[in-house]
Amino acid sequence: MKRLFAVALGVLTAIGGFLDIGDLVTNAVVGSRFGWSLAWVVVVGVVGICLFAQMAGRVAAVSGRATFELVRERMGPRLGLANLAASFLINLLTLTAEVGGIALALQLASSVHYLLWVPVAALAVWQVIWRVGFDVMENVTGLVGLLLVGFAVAFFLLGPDWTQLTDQLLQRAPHGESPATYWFYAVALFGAALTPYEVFFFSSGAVEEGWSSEDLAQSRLNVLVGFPLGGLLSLAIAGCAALTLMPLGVEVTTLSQVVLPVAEAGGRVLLIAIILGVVAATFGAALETTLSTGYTLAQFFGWSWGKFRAPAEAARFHITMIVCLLVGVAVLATGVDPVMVTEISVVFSAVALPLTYLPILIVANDPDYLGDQVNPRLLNIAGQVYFVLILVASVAAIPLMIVTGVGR
Amino acid sequence: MPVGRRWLLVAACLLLAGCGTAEDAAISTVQDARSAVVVAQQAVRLRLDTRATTPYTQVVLDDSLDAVGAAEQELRDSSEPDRARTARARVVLNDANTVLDELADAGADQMSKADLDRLTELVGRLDAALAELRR
Amino acid sequence: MFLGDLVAAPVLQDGRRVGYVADVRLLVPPHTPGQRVGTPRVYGIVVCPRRTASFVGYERTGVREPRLLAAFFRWRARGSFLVLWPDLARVGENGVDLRLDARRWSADLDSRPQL
Repeated sequence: MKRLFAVALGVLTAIGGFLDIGDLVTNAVVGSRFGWSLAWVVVVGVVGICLFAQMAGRVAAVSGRATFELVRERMGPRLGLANLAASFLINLLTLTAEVGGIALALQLASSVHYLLWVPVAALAVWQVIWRVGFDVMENVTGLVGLLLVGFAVAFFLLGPDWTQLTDQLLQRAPHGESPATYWFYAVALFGAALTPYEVFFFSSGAVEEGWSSEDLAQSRLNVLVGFPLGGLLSLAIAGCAALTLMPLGVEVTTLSQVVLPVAEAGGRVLLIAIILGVVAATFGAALETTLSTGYTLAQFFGWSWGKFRAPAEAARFHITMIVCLLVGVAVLATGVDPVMVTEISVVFSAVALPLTYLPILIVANDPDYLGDQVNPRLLNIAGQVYFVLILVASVAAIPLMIVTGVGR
Repeated sequence: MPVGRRWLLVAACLLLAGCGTAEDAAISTVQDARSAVVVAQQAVRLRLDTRATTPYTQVVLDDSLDAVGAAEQELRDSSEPDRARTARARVVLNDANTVLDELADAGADQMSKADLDRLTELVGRLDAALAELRR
Repeated sequence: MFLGDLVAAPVLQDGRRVGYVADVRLLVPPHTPGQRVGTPRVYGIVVCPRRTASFVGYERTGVREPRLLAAFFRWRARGSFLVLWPDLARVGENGVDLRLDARRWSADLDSRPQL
């Protein structure tokens, strides 16, 4: 019974923890403009994150090393430092977007301007990181984040027109956008589904929770069941926007528009539940990205790291996180639109993906780290196919962003 | 050699940026405003049906007002050569700004059927302007 | 001199540039007189004709997966060779000089290193 509970908890928090501000915004924008025409990208993305998250988890559980320890050990000083710099900056951008997301969600709940919520959100994130244990933090945000299942409820309450959605899915419905815009959003959605921090947070989290080879089955289950269900929620968000906003000719530009279909479908109760879910999801992601800033730097430079250590024993790790949160707050304080920051962060995530995925794919094959737990043949074939996809998305991202003027 | 490659990349980016199609500012700004007003109209309708909460509706009104303000700014900054078209867009954007400003100021808890009608009528005016500009 | 200064330094032989230092190989002797444990010593340098190459672990002949990546990184590091420390004529500020009769060994690591 206790075992079953642990399994269920793991899967549920994986679902609740799957979505962040990038997924929420990008899926709604894409749904309102393309319907389900880009739904295939979500499927491709979810398969990709499953492949690499379970690889990263296995490497961490068997070798006890997290992603950036591997980057330093395997890529050499020059390539390693370039990788660190790029990954760190993009993670900082994602952190800024998540803190902005918490503030926007709190604004929806209170109608108090989001800029007033930004420092509150950042302070709360820092307090949780400073005081709360890793398991409690992950479980609470993951479980409350499950309220986002409300998007699926709303989707069905709206009475989906399946023939229309299938036509969009099979590319039979015209969406009136240019091919460049279509592919720009394909890359953005791919970046939102595979965000790099999810992988380095996942592998560092495995070390934090002290996984060993015996925990691998549980971790695999969390990933292989939780993430696809999270992916279904992404499709529901896009579907809600496709059903409600697309016919009105509204292209999503704010978080308030993302949740409009929910009010339409389920009224105040569902709206309140979703707003709470968005707060939890963005808060959880803000915690994860903030921890990731500390993880990347500390692991690369060999500082003590981890929430399992008291702050005084991992001072540089904690100072990094405080500084990064302050930088995020400073960026948001300029009044830059958090939704815009989010859209740019998912594109740059796509650019940075190969930097995180390459070392994991290489080390997951290294017998010196993994002994006989190296990747099986089939997984390597899939991993390499995905690596090619990731490279293509990474190379195409910036040219597409320039050509389309960030999807305008 | 790496320096040469880098310049090539910069040149390619500039080329790509040049390929980006310049959009008609009058149409795109009115379209943005229409999108914002439609959302405000929907939110007020949901509020009157007690399906949206008051704070949420207030945020939608504020967001829509901001969006219309941004569209007006964009139109001012644009180098649209045709004065008549710009003037047409400016008039209808100004209407949208006035209505949303009044509603946002009054507050989401004060919304009435008359306010919803104002928004619906405003959407109609924006649609008419768009049709005219597209001609 | 720091090891970090050596990595990526240009390598010359007979006034001609033959490549860059891609790696430094160390040897840990089982015993150093007067110490409990052996002090690692530089055993040789790996020279690669290109500046940007990195082996990313594929200098170990036992590691061949994933196929495409292994092939790619081996190809990037093609033409690399190992020069033993006694075959270096000079190690200075602006690079390393090889002796004219310096012997070029294979850069491969045949057996799996013991961690």
